[in-house]
Amino acid sequence: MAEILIIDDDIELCNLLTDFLSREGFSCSFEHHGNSGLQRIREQRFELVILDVMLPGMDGMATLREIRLTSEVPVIMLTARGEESDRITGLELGADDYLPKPFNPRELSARIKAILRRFQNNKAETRNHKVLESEGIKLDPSSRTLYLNDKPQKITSIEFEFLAVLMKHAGEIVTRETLSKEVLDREFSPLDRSIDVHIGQLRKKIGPRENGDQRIKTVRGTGYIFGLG
Amino acid sequence: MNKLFLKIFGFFLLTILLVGSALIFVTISSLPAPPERGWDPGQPSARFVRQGLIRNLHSLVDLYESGEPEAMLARKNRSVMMKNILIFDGAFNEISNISEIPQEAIRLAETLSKNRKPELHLPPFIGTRIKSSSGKTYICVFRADQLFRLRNQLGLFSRFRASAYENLTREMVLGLITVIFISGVLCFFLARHLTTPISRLRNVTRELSEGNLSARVGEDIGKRKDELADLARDFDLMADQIEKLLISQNRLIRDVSHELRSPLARLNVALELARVSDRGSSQAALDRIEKESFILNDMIEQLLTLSRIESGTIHSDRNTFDLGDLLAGIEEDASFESGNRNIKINLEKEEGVKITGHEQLLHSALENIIRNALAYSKNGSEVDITMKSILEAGPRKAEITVRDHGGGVPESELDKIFQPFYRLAPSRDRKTGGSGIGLAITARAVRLHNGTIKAVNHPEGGLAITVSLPLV
Repeated sequence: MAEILIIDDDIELCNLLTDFLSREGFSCSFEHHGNSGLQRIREQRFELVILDVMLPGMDGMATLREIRLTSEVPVIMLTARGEESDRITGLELGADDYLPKPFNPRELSARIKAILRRFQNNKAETRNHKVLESEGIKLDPSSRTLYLNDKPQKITSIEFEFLAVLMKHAGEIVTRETLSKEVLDREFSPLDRSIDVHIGQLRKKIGPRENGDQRIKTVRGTGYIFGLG
Repeated sequence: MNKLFLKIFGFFLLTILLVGSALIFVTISSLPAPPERGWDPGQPSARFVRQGLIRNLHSLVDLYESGEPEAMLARKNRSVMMKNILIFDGAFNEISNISEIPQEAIRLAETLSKNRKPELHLPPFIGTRIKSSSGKTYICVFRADQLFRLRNQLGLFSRFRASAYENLTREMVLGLITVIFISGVLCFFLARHLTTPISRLRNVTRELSEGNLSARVGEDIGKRKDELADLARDFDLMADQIEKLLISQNRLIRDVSHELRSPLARLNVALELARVSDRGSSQAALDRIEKESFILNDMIEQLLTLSRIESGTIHSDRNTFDLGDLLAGIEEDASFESGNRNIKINLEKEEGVKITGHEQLLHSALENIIRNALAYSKNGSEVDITMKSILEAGPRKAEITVRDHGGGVPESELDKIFQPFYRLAPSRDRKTGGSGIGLAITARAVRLHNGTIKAVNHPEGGLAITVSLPLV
């Protein structure tokens, strides 16, 4: 049974979600403050964290930043609907996915399952995957580490996934639809900017090529391409 | 320069000109009449002329006595002033060689030769006794008025013409020019002093009405302490009040909407739990609850969008994108959703029209219009969407028209459909669903992009909504 931590100040909602998610086969714990949530993550191993953006005291963003200092646990952010800046900030800080609140619980359950499945697949895959390399970038699936000129770089698991897919298809256009399916495990929607945000973060982390070009080029209206030398 | 400035400046200047001219007119007409240009021996000018004249006559008679009468005549005739002067010698012979001699002149000369008077005045003639260097007496007679007129004409009187009268008028002309110049400068500054705060106030008023709630006159009015400064301060106070009111209204809407989300989120989860434990017996009712909850959610989202547009806190960035692609995407979704109602959507678009703006906002703005058109279309009818770029005065614009084949809207209500929660009479009401905010969001989003939106009833029936967006 997958252990899930819910950090939300709405006590009633936590109770209801625990009830609902346990029927879906998850084991839930909850915390109502960012600080106590962080404490729990340090003490206990969770497979996934559901984090509300609007928290009293230390808000969801700050909590996420703290979580990412020590843990790579997958995080789903519950954002205010329409507050696009929240979503982008959340993804930039290393959230794996977001869901606007109020959400459909079945959707939440599906997202949780998708993320967990991806994680398990990755674990299985990494064992028989070879190291990807290109112009100073090395992606090691077994340790899930990115090396830039042989120096290990901090990278979130979802960014790792995006980079791995792009590098596997280096020199070919990878459409947003493919990226959405393969990495996010859901259908692409034109208004979903999470792919663009993740790619933006990736670009910052891997930097440009020696000649100044972006390593990951945008193909307008279609997708992205990982450039070969 | 604005109209008020020109008005104030012009009127002040005109007033000063009028007052100045009136003043000069009054002064001139109250002056004593200019002196008679006749012979008045008492007048300084007359004395001066006489002295000069007598000096000339002395030299003439000396020339005559030296035995050169011809030279004397030549010299006398050379001078316009002297050529008509009669000269008689001691024997009462006329030596000036003038053919026609008036009787009065002869009589005057006779009288003067008999008595001892040095000078005799018998208007218009003056006779005077001249003594030559040798001591002989001559009598000279001349017409005083003629002489003076002549001198005036020759302009030789300049020193005397600069009499009080003439001095005054010249000084007045100079003075008038100076006055006009100085008062012109003063008027300019006065008019500017008056109109600058007014035009500043006007700019701020316009800014405020265009939605910049933080626009204030404030420091721009300077250290003035007059009524205009009071007006500016009052305006700022009023703007403060409006800003506070609008902000609090906006915050209320936002807070209420935010707060509504928590119970809705709980409702959604509870609903799913009910579904699981119910095992089918109340699915219809639960579906209904879910649908209503979805509508509530939708309304809250729309309200929040509206409040964000109105408060100017749109977060998504502006970028450049293809308007045709955006419309095609909306059309695809709409076609999919309206498929079971058998409504045909005809999209006719110009290729390659790029626009810069908030993509997501424009997406929902245009989607709202198309959804609205679909909602009011009968099953099996059509919705026409056209998009083309037009070049008018100003920047290039994109014009998007969405027309349905429904019942249209009464003419008097056409403007009101863009108000939030505005609902038409029973024929177009709730049964179509929707939050009632969609078109209000559209109108505000279009305004945010400096565009215009207009609804008209199509001559062949149905409502046509036209959005025009500048492509910059």
